[in-house]
Amino acid sequence: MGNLLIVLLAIPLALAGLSLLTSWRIIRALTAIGSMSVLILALVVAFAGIVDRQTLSTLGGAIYLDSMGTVFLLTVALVYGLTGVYSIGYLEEKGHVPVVGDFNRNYYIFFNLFGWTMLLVPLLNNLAVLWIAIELTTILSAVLVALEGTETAVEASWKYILIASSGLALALVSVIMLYYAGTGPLGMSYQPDWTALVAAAPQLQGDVVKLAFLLAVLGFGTKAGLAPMHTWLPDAHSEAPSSISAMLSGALLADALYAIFRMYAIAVRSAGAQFSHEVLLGFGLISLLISAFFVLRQQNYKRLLAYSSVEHMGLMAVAVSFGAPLALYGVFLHVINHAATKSMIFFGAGSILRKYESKEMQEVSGVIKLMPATGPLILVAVLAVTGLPPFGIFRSELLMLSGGFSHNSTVAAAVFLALINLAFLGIFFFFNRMIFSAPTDRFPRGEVSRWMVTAMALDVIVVLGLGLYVPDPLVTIFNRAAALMGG
Amino acid sequence: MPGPNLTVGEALTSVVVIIMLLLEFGLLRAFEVGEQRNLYATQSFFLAIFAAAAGFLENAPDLYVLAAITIILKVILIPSLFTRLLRTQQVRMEIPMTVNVALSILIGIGLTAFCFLSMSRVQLQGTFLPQTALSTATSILLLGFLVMITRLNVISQVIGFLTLENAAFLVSIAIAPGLPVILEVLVIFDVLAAVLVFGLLTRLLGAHLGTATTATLNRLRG
Amino acid sequence: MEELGGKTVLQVLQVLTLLIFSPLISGIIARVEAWLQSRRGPSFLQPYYDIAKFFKKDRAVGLPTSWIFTAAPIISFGCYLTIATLIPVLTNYPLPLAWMGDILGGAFLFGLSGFFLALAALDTASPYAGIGSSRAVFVGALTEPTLIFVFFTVALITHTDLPYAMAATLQSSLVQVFRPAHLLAMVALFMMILVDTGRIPIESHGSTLEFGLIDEGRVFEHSGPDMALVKWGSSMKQFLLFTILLNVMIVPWGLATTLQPAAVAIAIGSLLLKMIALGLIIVAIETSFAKLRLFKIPEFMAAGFLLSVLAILVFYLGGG
Repeated sequence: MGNLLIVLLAIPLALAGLSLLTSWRIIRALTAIGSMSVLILALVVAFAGIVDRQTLSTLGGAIYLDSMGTVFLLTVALVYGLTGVYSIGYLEEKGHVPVVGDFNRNYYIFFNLFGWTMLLVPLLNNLAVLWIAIELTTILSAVLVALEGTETAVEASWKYILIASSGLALALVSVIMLYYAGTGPLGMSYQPDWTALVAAAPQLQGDVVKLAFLLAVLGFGTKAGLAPMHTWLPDAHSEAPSSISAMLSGALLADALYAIFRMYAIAVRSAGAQFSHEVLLGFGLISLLISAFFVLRQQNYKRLLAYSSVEHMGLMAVAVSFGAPLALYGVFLHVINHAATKSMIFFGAGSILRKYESKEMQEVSGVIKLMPATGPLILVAVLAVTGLPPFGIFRSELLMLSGGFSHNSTVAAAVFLALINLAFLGIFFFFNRMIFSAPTDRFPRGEVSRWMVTAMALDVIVVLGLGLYVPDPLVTIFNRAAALMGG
Repeated sequence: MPGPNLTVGEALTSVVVIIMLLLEFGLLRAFEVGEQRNLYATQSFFLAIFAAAAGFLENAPDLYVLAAITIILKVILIPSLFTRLLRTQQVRMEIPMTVNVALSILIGIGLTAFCFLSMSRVQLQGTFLPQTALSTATSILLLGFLVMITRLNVISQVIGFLTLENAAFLVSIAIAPGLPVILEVLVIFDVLAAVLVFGLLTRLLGAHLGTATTATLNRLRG
Repeated sequence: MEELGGKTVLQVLQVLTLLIFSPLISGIIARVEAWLQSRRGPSFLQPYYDIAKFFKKDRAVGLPTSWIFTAAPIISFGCYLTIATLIPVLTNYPLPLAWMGDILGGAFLFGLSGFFLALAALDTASPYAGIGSSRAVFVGALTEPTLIFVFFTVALITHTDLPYAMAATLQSSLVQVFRPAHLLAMVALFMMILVDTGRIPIESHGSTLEFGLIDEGRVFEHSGPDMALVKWGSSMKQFLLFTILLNVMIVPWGLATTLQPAAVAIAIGSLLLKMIALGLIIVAIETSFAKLRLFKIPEFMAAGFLLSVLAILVFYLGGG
């Protein structure tokens, strides 16, 4: 079973290597197959491995998977798999952009490498290597954001890599502080494994751990899109090619959140829950507020979706701060739901972009008439992302709220509720107009690519499925993950 | 209140750390990007000296390796990458600032005082020069952010970011000298990769805008 | 009684040392600088000749001036003589009059002399003197915060603010000199001394170019014996500042520890040697750097202030 993990990691690396050698058309197909295989492998590992065995480790403990990691592994694998399929359609007619060299080939090299690093993150026990992996994701995704080569794309990529890396510098200091805290019980020189630190957590010096956690939220939170460090996010997610936007919003933000969760687990056991809750609540509420406000001001639908991602990250941070096991369960469910839903809606946005060739919302009208397959699917995605039943996000948001109300965090939960409704209004209104308004004559009727539609259709299975029924293995995994979080 | 007791070795090492802080202030004062690059190289050099001193005084020979790699990568390689990048830019590399020098130094002093005051409340025991190194490192961190905010030249901002990494390393050598050196080396290589991407982006920016000022990077707003 | 008599002699000797040797230091610096610039330069004893020449000349006093104009040089001269009794010029144990004032008292006396010279300049209603006076006061005001922090730092390290005792404490162990707080304070004080003695990068020493008129401008209007006193006073000021820097901060060794004439002679000799060494450093700085433009001076000051603030921070909160 551990070997499956190695195979899972080897596939994207191999694909990236092959991208250097063969033509992009072959790679296009291979990537789709490869990424879907990764998804299948992840499902197998989760449902057949983790459920029974609680943890998996291989390569002498360097690769380590527990229930919390499984949630995020599934998330990343899901987005990676579906984006692999989507890319076939998205890149179909993309030409060469001389500034960044051979667009398609570069796309696939970096896409696969990026996928590899994101898959690696939930599989690492060593916190320092975790940091290195996250910094690698930043670097690789920055290249992808800039890949289209336009002025705005380069500017967005610049802001992204500068701000995210600066934040990660803070995160590095936090890892070091945590390491220092651990030198007491664990000795002067040791490998900063999460398992070891969590076990030793009650003996760690409270003040130092608090400082480390604060820095971790500041640092990794920059990567996760928590406000007020989120300023790179709308630019990067809107300027990247839509398939990459899906990966960024769905999987990368989740990976950053994963890092925060790991630090949270240590902080809660060492310095008590209250401080960690306050920190997360603060940043979460600010994120909700800012995103709700900015969502209403948008003219570019991809930026709109980016702010929605900020909102969801804030939402999850607030939910963790409730400290209720029910809410934590909801958070883990939400990670997968958000990844599926957000990727689906970004896929739709990409299809719209390819058809209407504009990111401005006022240029887009009558999607449902002009794109008979994508239209309804986007509608479904919008309904899902705004939290309507019977879709997954409704279920997870309900769970998070229940946890909050039941655990005496009533005020926070109420604010939470109000703000997500505000964002709901914004997104719903704008997309509604785009989908149902009368179409202009400029564009022909018809889909741009059936592959893009396929990807969205596959996504719907998850989005709707998890709303209707959460399979038992997943329930077990979520519960165990919530227990690992502690607090 | 008597001054804390120091040995000569510890006092000299503190001086090295403070020189790093002063070099960071130098970044605030520097007029040209070339000067900033040299300041960064010097700061990295002193970081290497600090690592070697820590290795000597704490009996951690791994740190010598770290010192050597710091010199190779941060004192020689990365500044030379900057030199090549500067040569490809056809623009004058004088740095526009949002705040004038004297004011930015005063703000820097304020930030430094803040860091020293807050770090003094964090009780750290039994490590190598905890107080000076930690306070100085966080000051360098905040000053690095200040440089990134007040300097409108893209390469200045990258150098500011690199000093953030220097500060992180300072912290790690000071309070966690036992951290496996291989991890720190990997971090340096990571930073190197980031610099390469920065270079790529700078060249792209230059090709588009003909200039490397972030004052013009304001298309994406809202 | 014997001892008191001996100490009194030493006290007087201190003041005499200041009077006699201060122009020599100025002369040496000027000569070496000229030599470094491939010129022949004035003789070492040129300042003495200048002072003597001025004493012989007549005094010319402008019409609108008051008693301040004629009194200022004397007051300033007197201040410097008084300061000489407060600081460890020759000995590292306090002499009878040393209890008159501590290091802040010394700073006050410096300030007093500068104040009167500035007033005298304004008194003449001459534009050049006015410019010099206002600039000097401006620059002086900027040095104050730094100097205060420096004195605080040294006082905190040595637990006293008597210059003599400071020197003694610093002499006691090597680590005290290498303390980061101390080193920072030292450099900050050195920078402020460059300012106060009118050297590069603040002003070209001894030049009367209008762009650079600070110290020279203040005393533009004096003549005759007044000018002699002022010139002598300025070299005495330089001597005193160097003494504070050397004997209190950097190398408080070589001071006489006993009343023996031999020890005192060594003290004088070592003092002169230290001064010459410092002078050489200053010459190196003067020939290597350019004068800062007037509105860049606050940057220099900010740097000095930064060092002095860091000295305090590092001492109190930074472990050393």
